[in-house]
Order: sequence, then C-alpha cells, then structure tokens
Amino acid sequence: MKKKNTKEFVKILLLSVIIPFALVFIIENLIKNFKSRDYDINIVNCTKDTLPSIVDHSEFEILKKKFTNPSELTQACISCHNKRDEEVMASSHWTWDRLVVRENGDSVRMGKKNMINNYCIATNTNTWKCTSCHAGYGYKDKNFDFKDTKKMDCIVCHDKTGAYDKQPLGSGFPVEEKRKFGDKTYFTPDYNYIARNVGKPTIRNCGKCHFFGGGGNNVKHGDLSDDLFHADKDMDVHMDENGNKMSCIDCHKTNRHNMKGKLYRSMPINKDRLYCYDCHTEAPHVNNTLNRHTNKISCQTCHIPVYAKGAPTKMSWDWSQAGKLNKRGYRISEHDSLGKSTFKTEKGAFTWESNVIPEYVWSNGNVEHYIYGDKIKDTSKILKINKIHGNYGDSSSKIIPVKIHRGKQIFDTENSVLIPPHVYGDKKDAFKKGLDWKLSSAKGMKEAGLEFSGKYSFIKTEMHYPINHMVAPVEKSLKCIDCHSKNGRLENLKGFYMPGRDSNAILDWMGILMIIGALGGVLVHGLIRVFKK
Amino acid sequence: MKKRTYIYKNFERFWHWAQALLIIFLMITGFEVHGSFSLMGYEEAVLFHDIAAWAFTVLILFTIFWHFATGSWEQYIPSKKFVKEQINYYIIGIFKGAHHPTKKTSYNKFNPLQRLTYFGFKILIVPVQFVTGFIYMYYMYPENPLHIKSLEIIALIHTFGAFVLIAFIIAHVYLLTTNEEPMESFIAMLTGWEELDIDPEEEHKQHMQYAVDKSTAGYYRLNKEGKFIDVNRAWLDLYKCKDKSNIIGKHFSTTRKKEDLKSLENLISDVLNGKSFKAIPSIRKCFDGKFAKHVLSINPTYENNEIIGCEGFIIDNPKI
Repeated sequence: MKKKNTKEFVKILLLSVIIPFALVFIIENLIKNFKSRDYDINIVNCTKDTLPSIVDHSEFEILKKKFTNPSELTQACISCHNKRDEEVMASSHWTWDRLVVRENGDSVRMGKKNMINNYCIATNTNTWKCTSCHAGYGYKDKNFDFKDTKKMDCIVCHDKTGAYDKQPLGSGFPVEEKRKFGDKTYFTPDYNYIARNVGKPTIRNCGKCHFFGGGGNNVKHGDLSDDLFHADKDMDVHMDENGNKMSCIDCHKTNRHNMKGKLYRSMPINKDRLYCYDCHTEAPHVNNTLNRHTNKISCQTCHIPVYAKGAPTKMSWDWSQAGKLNKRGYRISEHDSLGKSTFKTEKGAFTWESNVIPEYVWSNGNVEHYIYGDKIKDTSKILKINKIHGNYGDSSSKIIPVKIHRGKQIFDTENSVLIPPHVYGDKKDAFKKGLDWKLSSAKGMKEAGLEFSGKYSFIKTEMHYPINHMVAPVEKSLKCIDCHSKNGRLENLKGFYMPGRDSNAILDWMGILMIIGALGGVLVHGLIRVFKK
Repeated sequence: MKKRTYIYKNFERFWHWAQALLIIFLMITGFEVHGSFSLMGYEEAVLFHDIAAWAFTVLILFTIFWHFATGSWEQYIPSKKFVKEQINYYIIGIFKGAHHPTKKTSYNKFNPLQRLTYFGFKILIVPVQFVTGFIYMYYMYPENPLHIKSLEIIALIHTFGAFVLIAFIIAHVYLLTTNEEPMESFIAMLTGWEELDIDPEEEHKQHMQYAVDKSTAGYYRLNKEGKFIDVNRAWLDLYKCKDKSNIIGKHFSTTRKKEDLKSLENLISDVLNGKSFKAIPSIRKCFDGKFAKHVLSINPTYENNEIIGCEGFIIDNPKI
C-alpha cells in the first residue's frame, strides 16, 4: 500500500510539474516564433509592366518638326494616338467633374466647378489661378471649351524628362519665355526633346500636381507630399526608392485613361474604389484574429499610423481673421520656424502639423459633399463640408483614418449658404486686393449664380480627408494596444464595445466587490476558527 | 474508523490540475484583454487566451466522456439531504469543533454543498464561459451564421463569469482548510489517496469476504439437492481440482467413497432440517482418485427464514 502511494504521488507530481513547465516552454517558444517570424506577404493580381518601351518616339518624323507651343505637340500626339483624346476628355483630369446622383436623388455634375472647401474655398472666379493643374491649356473661366482637343495637355502626364512645367497662375500654360515665380525659375520647355521622351506617368508626373494640392507642398491631403518623390521605407513602404519602387499608377491602375481610386473625400458613391486587398487578399495576416479585424477596420487604420511624415500639412484655416492690418495700417505676414505661413492679412490664420495622428471615423465609402447653394441646416453648429457616411451597425462600414481640416469661412446669414468669394484678381472686388468681404462676396455669388443678401458671417467648418498614402512598414503599424486601451486612438469612436477600451463600471465594481467579499468572508471565517479553538 | 482510501483516479486528478492551470492562465490573459493590466502584451494575450480556450475545450470534451463512461457524473447530482446540516456546520458547527455532518467515501466524495457548487460550475459557469467565449472569438468571422449587433452583452457576461470563477477559486482553496488536516485534501488531489472515515459494518463485510477468499480452510456451499454452488480456492487445492467448473453443479456423492455416502446423506438431511455440526472427521475422494482426511463443519443456509442449502469449511487433517 505504502509503495503504491509513493508511486501515485510521484506520478502526479511529475504530471503537475512537467505539464506546467512544458506549457511555459511551449508558450515561450510560441512568443519567440510569433515575434520573430518573417512576414511572407501574399500578393495577388499585382503585376508590374517590366517590358521596355517598344516604340522609339525619336524616330517619328512628326515629332522632329519644330514645336513652338504645347498645343502643336498635343495635335502631333493625337495624329497617331487617335481616339485617345476622347478618353482623356471623358476623364476627370479634363472635366474636373463627374456625373453623380446625390442623396436627395438629384443627378448633378459635381466637381471643382461647384464644390466648396475650407481652404481657398472655391474655384469660381478664381479658376485661372487653380487651373495650372488642369490637364489642358487656357482653362481661365467657365467659358473654357471642353471639346477642343487642341487644348488638351498630354505631356504633363507623359513627359519623362522632368523638363516640363506648367507655370503658376497661367491657366495651365507653360511659360513662353524664362520667368521667375517666387524662388523658382520656369524655363520654356524643349518640346522636341520632350516629344522624343514620352512614356508612362511616373511619381514625378502625378506628384507635380497632386502633392501640391491647396497651392503648396502637402497643404491639402496630408498624406501626399513631395517627400514621396524620394521615399524611403518609413515614408511609404510601397514607394520606397530602395525597396518596392512602386509608382502611383501601380496601384491607381488605368484603363483607357480612366484611373482607379477617385478622390475619396468627394465621391458620393462607393464606385471605382481602389482597395489594399486587390493585391493583398482579404486575409493578409498570419494571425487570424487580425484577419477578422478586416471586417470592421480598413487596412489604412493600422498601417498608416501617422501622416505628413515629412512636410507639414495645413490643419486649420481661419478666414474670419483675414483683413486684419497692423497698427501702422500695413498688411501682416507671419511665419513659423519652418517658414510656414501662420498669418496673412489677405488669407487669415493657419496652423500646420507634421507627423499627425489621424482621427478615425466609420465609412461605407459614400460621401456627401457640399456644393453651391446647399442650405446650411444649423448655422450655430460646425458645418461638415463633406460627411463620410457609415456606422458600426452598417455591415459595409469600416473604420478609416482621416485628416480633418478645420476652417472658419464666410457664409450668407440670410440665405444660409456658403459664399464662394472672389479672392484673386487685380480689381477691388478681389478680396486679396480690396480686403472687402462684401464686394468679393457679391462678385463671387453672382458668378456662381447665387443670390447674395449682403449680410455675412463666419461659420466653423470641417473637411474630412481619408488617409490612404504614406503606408508604414509592418513594424511601425499600429499595435493592438494603440486602440484596445483606455485613452487609445479610438477613444472617441463610440457606439460599440471594444475589449480593452470599454468595460461596464457597474459590472467591474460588482466583480471586484465579489472578490473582496470572497476574500473578506474567508478571512473572517478563518479568524473566528482560529480564535474559537 | 480511519482508512487510507484511493478516491481520485488518475484522469480525475489530471483533469483537476489541468483545469486549474488553464483557468488561472485564462484568467491572467483574459483580464489583460479586459484592460485590467498589461503583462505579456495585448496581441500575445489574445493569442494565448484563444489557444488556452481550445485546450480547455478539448479537456472538457474528454472529461464529459470520462464522466459518463465511468458513471462518475452521479457524484455531481445535487441532493437536498444534509444541505441544511452542511450549511449549519460551516456557519456554526465548525467554530464549536463539531464533526463534518457528512462522510466522504470513494463512492460519495462530495458533501451536499460541494455537489451543488460543482454541479453549478459544470452546468452553468463553464458552459456560459464556453458559449460566450466562442461567440466572442468568432462573431466577426466572415460568413459566420451569427449576426450579433454588439459584442457588449457577450463581453459583459464573459467578464462576469471570470469574476465568479475568481471568487470560486478563493472559496475553493479556503475550504481545503476546513478538513481536520488542512493539507490532507490537497495531497489527496495530488496522490489520489486520502485517510477517510469508513463504515465498520461495510469494512467487516469486505473483510469477511476477503477472509473466505484467502483462507487455507476449504469453503463449500451446497443447495437443497446436494449440488455444489460455490467453493473457494483452498477447497479446490485440497481436492486437487484444477478448475472450479469441474465441481460446480455436481452432487456431493462424487467427493466421497461409496461406503461413506450413507452416513453423509444422513448428516446432510439433518442439516437441512436445521442442525449444525462442529467437527466431523471425513475421508475425501480427490479428483486424482486418491483419498485424504479432513475435518468438516456444516451448517444450514437460509433465505427468507427457509433453509435453502448448507455450507461449511473443511480443514485438512491427515492424523485422524
């Protein structure tokens, strides 16, 4: 009996010692593997065109003739690439708008022509200033002929030399003779040289306009800056010069000049979108728990932890302070230590930030954007110039990161509409010149076909920019704890239960009381037993 | 009366300790996920919580099988008997040095409160944790058949279950000490052996059985017709009989010389009429054909006050 007893004891001792140790060993190894494993990235449908160009443009006779203006070059392009002009003229690079059905059921052509933002507010009478980024020549005002193929700009996208620049304030034309704007000199392009060197658009072609939205580097988007011309891995894991070397069109795939991935800020319907999972599959993680997250969370949320990693981006613009003069009656211009303008009499006050942590919203891909004449429902509240739709209960909604640009801009207090003022011009009715809100509003409203009551005030507005670029390498992407914690990144995104962030205070207290109760009960019971003995 | 008894089987002990470890591990990882503290890292905590949940599931499946295969499930069926007494013991009796109102035996290991608690543990807490846990894990899984609007209620129930388990463990560990030897039950859960109070009657019966089985005196039992119903090992040895089946059902006349049969038949008919005899010298006819001497005792056997046969012992005695 005694012997058997010892045997049993040894057996169970071994079991209860070996099992925990084995468990600890296995767990330790799991952690090690888990932390050090290589991330095999599963890519589908991602092919890069690596074939060398089979056409040598330098041998075409038509490109050897002397070009004096860019329009002639466009015509030369079309003489061979016929019908391509029709594709371009149907694309939003040319039309600057597209036909959409709004939430109220209206079919409208929506675009820069009738949208209002909270940066420079509206193109409207200022179009000539904005159209240096139009893929055409001479888009000065609304009388521009959108059917004239001669006015199309092919080379802004297809120039491979880097020697082609459209001048600022030039309605899309390059300079005719050497000219200086600010600290940059613009040269007349050598059209024949350019014509011999055309090809698929590179980062340089796209970035020339898209990195400078809002009139300066990274002003508007926050995730598109000239840092992407020479990105390293930390800046953007796809566009890394020494790594993946991807260019814009590797993702923004183009079929007959129709590009995938429209501006998410303004597209009212979830169409022609571009998704990470087009290449990365819907289950890209080794960890299945992470894969399950993709139901409710967009890739960008974790993989773009910060934006504006290099150049700062504009975070707010207060137009209501514009017009202020200093004590001596001169215009004011203030700058921060990086040389970024923080105040200008003719524009108002700005704030800038870099390495910005995004804000997070639910999105189902549908966006409602303010256009001319939309009534403001409540002028005492912050007006959302674009509303990103979505919520937790909507199965097609996901959490996305956004840049929110906060503005304060002019609106008509009687008609409850935002005013697209006339800002740029040489006459007094341009705000920049005359600093007179009434005159510039009247001119802008008239041009936009809106009624101006003559009474105006300033309203706080918000514009949401979904963040899609500057994807971080995996080791810099968000960790669970960044959101699954109190005071985490999703602290303000209420309406659903998230482990680690949420708990029910009553239940937690009940639980703690239950434990205290159990401990206390046990302690009292034990003490009484000890003293009664 | 005390006796060392084997009450926790191998699997039972393995199950208990594996379950204990898993619950503690699930508690640590679970409360990290809950945000109560930060220990191994959130991602790891989730991963290991999931792995431990699967391990626990496997253990539970084995255990359910074991309970039914061995019939141990009966030990967990709550009964009303002695519940009051048990409660009184814990809130009054224990302070006065009273004895446990119920006895622990290998076939009735748990007192009525234990039965109730463990039953609740198995039928309520574990299933609730299991179900809410798996919904928690898979509610977001693509193409899942479940479409729950919010994790909240699931998470709250699961958290509450965890708190209940902590309280359970505290009470469970403390109640160990209510035994006369505090470490006794703990050691028993490790070795399987425990000193238990046992029933003297039961002990007596068991021992008598043992005595007959192992005795060097031969034991036999006959029915009314004089045919053998049962013999023990020693009887078979004395008669040089190789197998029990060679004798069971045979008439007693096969074990004697023909000359002696008459007196033996008289003896047995006396016994079947109610008499007993202490020591009758006899000569037996062994199965190998040889003869040997022994002394026998004989007495009638009863069932419902009616004589149904006879039985007795034989002791080898060549000197007669």
